[in-house]
Amino acid sequence: MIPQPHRPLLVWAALLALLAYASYVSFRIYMSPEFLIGYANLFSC
Amino acid sequence: MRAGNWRTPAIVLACGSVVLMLSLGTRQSFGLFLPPMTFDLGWTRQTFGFAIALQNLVWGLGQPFAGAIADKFGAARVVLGGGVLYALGVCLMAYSTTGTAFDVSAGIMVGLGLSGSGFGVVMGVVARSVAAERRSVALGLVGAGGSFGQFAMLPLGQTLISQIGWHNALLALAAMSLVIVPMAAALAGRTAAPSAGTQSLGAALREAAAHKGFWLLTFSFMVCGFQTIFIMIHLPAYLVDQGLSPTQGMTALALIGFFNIVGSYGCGVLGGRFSKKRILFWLYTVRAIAIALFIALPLTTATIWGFGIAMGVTWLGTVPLTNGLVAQIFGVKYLSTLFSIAFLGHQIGSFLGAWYGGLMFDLTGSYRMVWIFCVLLSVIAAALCMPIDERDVTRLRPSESQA
Repeated sequence: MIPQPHRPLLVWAALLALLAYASYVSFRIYMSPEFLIGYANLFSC
Repeated sequence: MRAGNWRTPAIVLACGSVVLMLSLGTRQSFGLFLPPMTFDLGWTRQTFGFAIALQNLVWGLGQPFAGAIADKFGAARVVLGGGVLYALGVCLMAYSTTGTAFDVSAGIMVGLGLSGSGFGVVMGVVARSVAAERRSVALGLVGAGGSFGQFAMLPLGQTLISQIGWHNALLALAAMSLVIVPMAAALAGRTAAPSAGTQSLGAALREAAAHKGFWLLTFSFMVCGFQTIFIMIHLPAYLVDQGLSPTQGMTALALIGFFNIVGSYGCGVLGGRFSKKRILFWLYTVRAIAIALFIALPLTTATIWGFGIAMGVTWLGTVPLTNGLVAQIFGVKYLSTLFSIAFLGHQIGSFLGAWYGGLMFDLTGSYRMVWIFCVLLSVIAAALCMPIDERDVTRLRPSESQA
């Protein structure tokens, strides 16, 4: 069992890890060719 | 209110963050549907653009009413109704074959859904669920949730379009939006405590209307709306016009999106420790300096990164600060209503920013005048923040001294 005082820390650590992973994946997609083409099209008119 | 016992501040905060993440994030990806939908359905870009403009207008106009209902009867039913309308609207977007149908689904239904599940209603519940001394941090956290949604849902939308096509991508987003509905349960029973007083809604509106600080705050918030929408819509085009690659435009947007998460939370934390109007003053000052340097210095990877980070940090940090300031001055009883009116100012600014950016480009062939105007607006907004009287209105003082 995880000691009670450590639980909030663990929740924060898990949330931060999740945020870091999601941010990494998001950045990669922002830079992907499909995204660039899709988004750049919006500004071509 | 025994049934509300499980609704601890942490639960309210977590569920409020998820609601904002989905409501603000999903709409952020709508622009990606423009090329495939207009191509497949034979629409003009104006058809698509009008529905999105309508959505922003309906959102801004509907939010004070949604806020008033939430303040009076509790936010749960408003968020629930907003979530259902939002999901239904996104689902019907997939089946819209005419411009009118798209106006109703993407414009009116999603707009009303946003009114019910956006900043005004959710932040009102969060503000009421925590003690006054922790309110600003809580607002910063829930704002960061919304900011994360805006950052992450855009690439998710693109991935869905690439993998399953725009029609199914919209259905998938509609299904995801439905998660707002169960989250509403956590936001129930959060109207103001009886100790908040017996002030009527009309009296609260009159009180705010007579308070100079409320209008100064609303006008500064309008500047925020003007700048953010202008940069979000026109920055990639500006960078491409200046001979840079679309990758650099997207890098700037991605940096803004990411640092917006940090900024929303950071501004909430700072607002809890220091004077909120002073933080707002510095926020608009940083924006003025960042924009001025951006147009004055040669465009390089370093300046684009610097601009992206500076704008990201100051992007939606205005929201927890403005919301917190309204709560601090007028109390939390009609917070959703009053903040929503200030937010209407933000949306009017958004409308003007999107429109004026395009108009000036068409007239002058460049965005330079708009950038200069943005610097000027930042300076004005910073100046508007300082005369705001941050003290609570006299009506609140006796009850607070008893608490």
